[in-house]
Amino acid sequence: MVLSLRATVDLMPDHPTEDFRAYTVLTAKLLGIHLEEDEIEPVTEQVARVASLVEQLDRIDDDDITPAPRFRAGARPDAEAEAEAR
Amino acid sequence: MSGHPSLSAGASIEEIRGAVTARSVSATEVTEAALQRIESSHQQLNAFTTVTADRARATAADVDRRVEAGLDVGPLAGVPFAVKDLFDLRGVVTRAGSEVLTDRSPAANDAAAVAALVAADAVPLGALTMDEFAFGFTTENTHVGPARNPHDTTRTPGGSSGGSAAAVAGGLVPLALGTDTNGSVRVPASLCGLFGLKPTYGRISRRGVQLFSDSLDHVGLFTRSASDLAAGYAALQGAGPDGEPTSEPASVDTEQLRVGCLGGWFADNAGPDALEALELVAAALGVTAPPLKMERAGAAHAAASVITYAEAGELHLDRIRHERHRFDPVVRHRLVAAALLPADWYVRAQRVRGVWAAELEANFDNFDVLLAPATPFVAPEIGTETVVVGGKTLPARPALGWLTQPLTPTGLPIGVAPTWPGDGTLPLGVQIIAPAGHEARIISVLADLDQRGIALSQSS
Repeated sequence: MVLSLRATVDLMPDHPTEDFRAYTVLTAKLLGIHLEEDEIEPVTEQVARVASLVEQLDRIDDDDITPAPRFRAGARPDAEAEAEAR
Repeated sequence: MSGHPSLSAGASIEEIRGAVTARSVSATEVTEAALQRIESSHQQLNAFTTVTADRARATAADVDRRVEAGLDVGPLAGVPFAVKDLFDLRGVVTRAGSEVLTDRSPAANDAAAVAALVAADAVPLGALTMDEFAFGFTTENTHVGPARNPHDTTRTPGGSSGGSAAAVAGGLVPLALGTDTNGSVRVPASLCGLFGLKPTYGRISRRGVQLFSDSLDHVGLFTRSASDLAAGYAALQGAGPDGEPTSEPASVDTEQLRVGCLGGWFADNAGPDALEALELVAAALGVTAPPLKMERAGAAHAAASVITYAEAGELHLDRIRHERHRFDPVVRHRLVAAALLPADWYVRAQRVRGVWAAELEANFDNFDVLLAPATPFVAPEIGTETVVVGGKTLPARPALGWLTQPLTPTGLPIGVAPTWPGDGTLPLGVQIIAPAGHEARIISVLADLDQRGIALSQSS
C-alpha cells in the first residue's frame, strides 16, 4: 500500500488513464470513500480534468509568496524575548 | 395606490424608501406587491426556493408602525430583498441548493449580511435558487429545477447565484445577495443585465454563509442601478445604532481615473459580443492604452479551479463519504474527485495565485481601474453543452467563468456594468476592477456609466 501510494505522488497529466484510475480507487479507499463500480470512471475523468489544469501551473520557488510567517533579515527574536521564552 | 411607481417591478431602492417614508405607500403594500410578483413568476423563473411571507409581512408592518409614529427608519426602509439559499435566514433551513442539508435545523440567526440589511429596515422575502453547493455557472439544479433568465426563459441566468440574478432582473426584488467564488455574482450579473459587485475579499462578513471554497468565497450583491448598488453596499457595511450605515462609499471623480483593459487571455477567450461590450465601456471611459498582456491569466484560471476543487473537497469530505448518493448528479462526481486531489497540486496552485495577484496588482501603479468582459458570450440556452465563439468550440458551462475565474484569487473588488451588445436583445457585462478596498471607485464608475446610459439594466 505504501509503495502504491508513493507511486501516485508523481501523478501528472501525461500519465495514462489507468494511472488516474488506480490513483482514484486507491486514494478514495484511503480516505474512506467506498466508490461504487459505476462511480469510478466519471470520478477518474474529473481527476484527470483537474490534472490537465495542473499542467499550466509552474512550480514556483519564491520566498516572497510563501504563506508561512516571514521574519525578514535581522528580524530574529531579540535576546530579551529569547530569555523570556526560556 | 395600486398604480404607485414604488409598487412596480422596476421600482428603485430610492423610490421605495422615499415613498414609504413619505407615507405615500406603505411597506406592507410594497411587500404584498413583491409577494404577488414572486408567486406569479414562479413557473417562469423558478427564482425562489423559500418565500418567507410571514416574516416579510411582520417586518414591513413594523416599518409602517415606526413611520406612522414619526420614528426614524433605516436607509432601506421597506425595500424587499432576497438571498441565495446559502445565507442563513432565521427560521429557515439553509440548503445551499442541496437535499443533503434539508435535514439540518432551521437557522437560529440571520447571516451577518442579512442582519445588516434587516438592521437597515429592508424586508427579507426568502431564499433563491442556486447550483448545489455553489458548484456551477448555470443554476441547473436537479433537485429544484433550473432557474431561468427573465430576458429569455429558455436561457440560463448564469450561476451559481442564478436565482438571485433572476429575481432582480425579473423585477421581483430590487436587491439580492449572492456569493462569488469563481464568478458566481459576476457571471449571472452579466447574463441577466444587472449591476453586480463582488467587494474585496473579507470586506463583507461571511458569518452565517454556507461556504464552498474558503479562500475564494466572497459575499456580493445584485441591483438594477448603480445607485441601488451603492445603497445596498452601504447597508452591508453594517448599521449603526440609528440605522445609518457606519461607512458610506465616498464618490470618486471618474474623469480623473486612468483606465486600462485586460487583454491576452481575456481577449483571446472573449467572443464578438464580449469584445463589443468591452469596447463600448472602454471608449466611454476614455481608454487609450493598449490592452495588458496578462500572460499568467491562463495559469491563474487553472489555479482558481484547483483551489476550488481542493477546498470544496475538504469541506464536504464527510458528506462525500456517507451521503453523496443524495448529491445533485451534476455535482457528485466533481465533488468526489475534489476530495482526492494531491496536496502538491493545491500548494502549487496557491503559489501561482500569489505571483499572479502581485502581477495584476502592479498594474495599479499605472491605472486606477481595469476592465475586462465578464463572460465570453451571452446567456446560452439551458442544457447547452458547447458554444462556438470566434470559430472555437467551447464547453458552455465552464467557459462561462473563464473571464471571471482568474481574477477571484486576487481578492480584488470587481463590479459589473451591464451592456447590450449585438442586436441588443441579450445583455453581457463588463468587469470593473479596482485595488483592494476601493469599492467606491467601482461604484463611481458604474454610476457614471449608468447616468450616461452606457450601462443599463432592463427589468423584464
